Amino acid sequence: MGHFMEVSHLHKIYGDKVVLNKVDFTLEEGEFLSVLGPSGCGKTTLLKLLIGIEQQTSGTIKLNGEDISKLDSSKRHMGIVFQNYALFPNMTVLQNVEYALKFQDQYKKEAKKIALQVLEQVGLKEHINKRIDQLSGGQQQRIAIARTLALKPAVILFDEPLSALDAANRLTMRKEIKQIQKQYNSTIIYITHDQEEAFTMSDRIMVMSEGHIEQIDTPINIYNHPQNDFVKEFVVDHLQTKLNDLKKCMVSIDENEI
Amino acid sequence: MKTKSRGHQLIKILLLAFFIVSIILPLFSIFIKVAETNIVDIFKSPQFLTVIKNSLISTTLAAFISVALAGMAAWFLLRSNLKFKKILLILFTMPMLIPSISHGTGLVVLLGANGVLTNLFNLNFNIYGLTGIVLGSLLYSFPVALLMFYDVFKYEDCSVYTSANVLGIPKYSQFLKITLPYLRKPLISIFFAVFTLIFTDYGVPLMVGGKFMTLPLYMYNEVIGLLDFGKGAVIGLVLIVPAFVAFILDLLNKDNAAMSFVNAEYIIAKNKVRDVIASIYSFILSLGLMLPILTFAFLMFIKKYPIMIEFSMTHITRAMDMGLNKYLVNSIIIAIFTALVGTTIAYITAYYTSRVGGKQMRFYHLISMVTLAIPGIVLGLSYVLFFKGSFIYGTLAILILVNIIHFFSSPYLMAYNALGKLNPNYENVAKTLGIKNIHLIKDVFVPQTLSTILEMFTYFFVNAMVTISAVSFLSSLSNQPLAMMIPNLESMMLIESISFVSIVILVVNLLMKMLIYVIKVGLAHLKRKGDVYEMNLNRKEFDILTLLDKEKDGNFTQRKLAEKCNVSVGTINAALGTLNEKGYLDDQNHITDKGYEALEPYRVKRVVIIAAGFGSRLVPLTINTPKPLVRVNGVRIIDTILDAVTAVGIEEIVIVRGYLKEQFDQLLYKYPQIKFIDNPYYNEANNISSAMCARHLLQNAYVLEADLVVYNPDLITKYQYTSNYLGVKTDLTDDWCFQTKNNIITKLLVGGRNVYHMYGISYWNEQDGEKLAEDIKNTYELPGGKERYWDQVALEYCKDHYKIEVRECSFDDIIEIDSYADLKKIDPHY
Repeated sequence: MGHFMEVSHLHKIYGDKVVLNKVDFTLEEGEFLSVLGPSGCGKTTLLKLLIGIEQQTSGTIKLNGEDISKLDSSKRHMGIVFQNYALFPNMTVLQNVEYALKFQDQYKKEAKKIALQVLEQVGLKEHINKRIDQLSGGQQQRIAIARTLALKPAVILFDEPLSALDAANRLTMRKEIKQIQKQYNSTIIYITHDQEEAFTMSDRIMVMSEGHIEQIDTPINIYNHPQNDFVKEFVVDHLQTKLNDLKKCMVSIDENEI
Repeated sequence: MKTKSRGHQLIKILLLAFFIVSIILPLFSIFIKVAETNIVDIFKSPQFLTVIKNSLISTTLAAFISVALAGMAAWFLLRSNLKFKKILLILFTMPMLIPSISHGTGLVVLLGANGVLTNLFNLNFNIYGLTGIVLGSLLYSFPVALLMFYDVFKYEDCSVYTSANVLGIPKYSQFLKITLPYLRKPLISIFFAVFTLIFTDYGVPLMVGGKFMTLPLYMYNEVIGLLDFGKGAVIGLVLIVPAFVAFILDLLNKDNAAMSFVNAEYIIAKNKVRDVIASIYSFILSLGLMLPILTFAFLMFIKKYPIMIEFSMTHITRAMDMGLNKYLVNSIIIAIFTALVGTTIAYITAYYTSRVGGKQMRFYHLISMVTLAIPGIVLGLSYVLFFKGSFIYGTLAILILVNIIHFFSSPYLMAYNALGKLNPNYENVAKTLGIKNIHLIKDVFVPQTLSTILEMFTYFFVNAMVTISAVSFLSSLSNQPLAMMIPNLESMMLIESISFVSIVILVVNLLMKMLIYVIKVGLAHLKRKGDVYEMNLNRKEFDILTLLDKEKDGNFTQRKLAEKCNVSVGTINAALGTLNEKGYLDDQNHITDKGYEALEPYRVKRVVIIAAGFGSRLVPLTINTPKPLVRVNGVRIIDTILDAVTAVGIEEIVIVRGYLKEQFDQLLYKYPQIKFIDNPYYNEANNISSAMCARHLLQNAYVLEADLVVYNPDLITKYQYTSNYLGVKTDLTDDWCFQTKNNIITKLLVGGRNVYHMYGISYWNEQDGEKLAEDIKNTYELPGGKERYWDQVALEYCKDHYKIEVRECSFDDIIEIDSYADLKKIDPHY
């Protein structure tokens, strides 16, 4: 049985440094996979190779049985949402989503209609003629997501989309992304360095460090059975510490209440 | 993956060819010529040494004065409460719109032997020589120095000064310890830039130099007069030196300059004395700068000042006879093409260096900047040496080319900075969406950098109109621009005609600047056109549109509408007609997209529910349950609010909670979009503390007290016309109530007759919501503020900031559960 997406021996060398070391993993349709790791672990490189912005030194990427490793970015049926959204401020919300469609032969004629549909589905129908800067950060992210959804990608990649937001916004945005995933049954690869985020959002987490995969499993399994010291320290201990701090907080509140 | 597109490669090769042919090879010609010449002899000649000495003295003097005056002027413009700052800025920079040689002429007409001021005040001194050169160079270089200082002061991070003020550091000490050190590096840059500008100019010395020969004039004479290219080349090399030094200094300084992204604006303190000094200073300065121009305008119509003071068009006609029309056309063509082609090449180059990057691009960047280090006449000579005999020589084209190169670096930098600031991920996005870079440039970059492009265009145009340096050796009677007519007129002592030519150049530049300004304003206006934040519906239109929106699934008749709005059917028909005309309704009386846009500013975007209180009077129920979650007839009190809210599709729900806050989490199962704000002071303060927590969220928002059972959900509508409070008209009440006049709340009372009984459900439009953020904070921080009720902010303490309407409802619509007795009345289970 083939997997929805198969990455085999994906390898990338910059100069004389091995940035990604023969990485293997698979992905099923509708899955939310987080790629979790500290800066420099290779997750951003992985993202760039998957989406086709850069070429791998060796290895293959297969999507739906098709080998996409040598294809142009735009031919891979993958969408990407960047950290700072990269929306076009000189166009309205509608035009932002329409713009991409105009360059695809199969969508050119119905570009406006498709754009309207997608924007309605993400709840932005009443804002279609506004300029980008008239909307909140969360709404802007929805536009960025709409822009990729319009092209019906097989996989959506998220590049640390919430790192630049404050805590309150981050929580809201997490919910929104999950909502959209449910709505579209999207397959999502989500790059992050935030353990909490990976844990609350993913079906599976791929923990990376120094160019290779440390462990790839469901959040519960990773928490209960970390496979090595790195995973234990980076993920489990970190979350454990947070939890303990919270507990201490609660205890002192209870004590003060009485 | 495809290799880099052919298009990119082609453009890069073309650019390379362009730079090689227009900069590198001509410069080589200079070096070759120098190598061929006997440098030693030239350097040994006493004349040469005298000339260098003269140049150094006059330039240093002029540069110092210019920098000092400009520094003070910029400081006054940005750090004092000077009046008419915008006008002053225009006056201060207007001298940039005429050639340097005109400034020299200006001195002659004002202070020469027959000068206006000489005659007026019976002055007796010789303008020719060092004095003239210094004064003329001052006029010429002041605007440039001013603009540089202006930038430096404008982008200084002024949070340092705020801190210093808080710490009580006196102003003079701030100046010595903060301003001066900050100015050190930019000051050196500015000084050398001004120095180079003056050092390499021959226009001023040509007019007022007299016997005081300076280097550029020396070079000009050698090349034009004696055709000694060798000597010219050697002198040219000497002229490059200060330009090169300035260039290097600038390069070094730029790396260290901290371009802070968060620039605190300077808060100008009140200081009458400083402002008076600033006014006097600015007045004298602007007079001095404008006097030459004004005198030109006057002189060109005077037959022969001071002998024959009568109106005459002689000088104008003479200038026209001598070919002014033709040269004017030349100038405009040259200027426009310099601007068009120059802007395009600079922009494309900047695109490659700032966004594509790579090792190759560093070379392009360096070349583009190096053009700054080459003085105009040196560039001109290099073009003579390289292009002589070619097809391009003697045409307008070579003048256009030399101007583009001469003025290249500033517009290039403008584009480089502007393009560099744009989102770095655009190219990646384009790749993944299958959008070619050329489309990205056309549809995304150019629209976003439009004002920069206009600035670049203006810079090229104005400079091409006034330049006499790079074009000096390349102009002949067939292709010469208007500015080059002036040296010819000078040799014929036709001062009045020079005045006329100067004014013509000034007018052309002014017209161009105004045109660009109009275009800028027009573009900004077009941009704003899409904004939907204008509340431009009247009450009737609002009522009808909202009713139509509500009934959009059902049938309505004009009769029904008339009933609901309380007006005649005739009025309804008229209103429907108007709405149709405005494009808000279509012919079936359905609301159009434009109609929805018009309604958008009135749409309620958020609900803020104040639910932090203890509910002491509902003890023992509220010992374990916060009041809003108490069930009345099986339904939680707060659910009546939440259901009404979600029924009309209000997106955001904010609950301010405090007492037993974790119990509110259960609401998320039914209403996942709720956001909570915790009020830690619920026990110590009244509900104004909750309003404090949510004070930034009140624009286009309902604010409700969570202990109100909403029996009539229609009270919560999707659109609201303006800020209002719910109230029930009553003869007598002993509770909170308002007096009104013309439907506007005039007074908040406890207990009254013929008043509206108040319910704690209010709506705040965008402006009022914004005001509340400030007013709530101020009221809260007053002594005793914490004991206030939040409604008192807008209805009592800050009531003249608001015009709040009363929205009528009835006692049956809402039940306030204040006490256990109230509860028992409604729900027999208790």
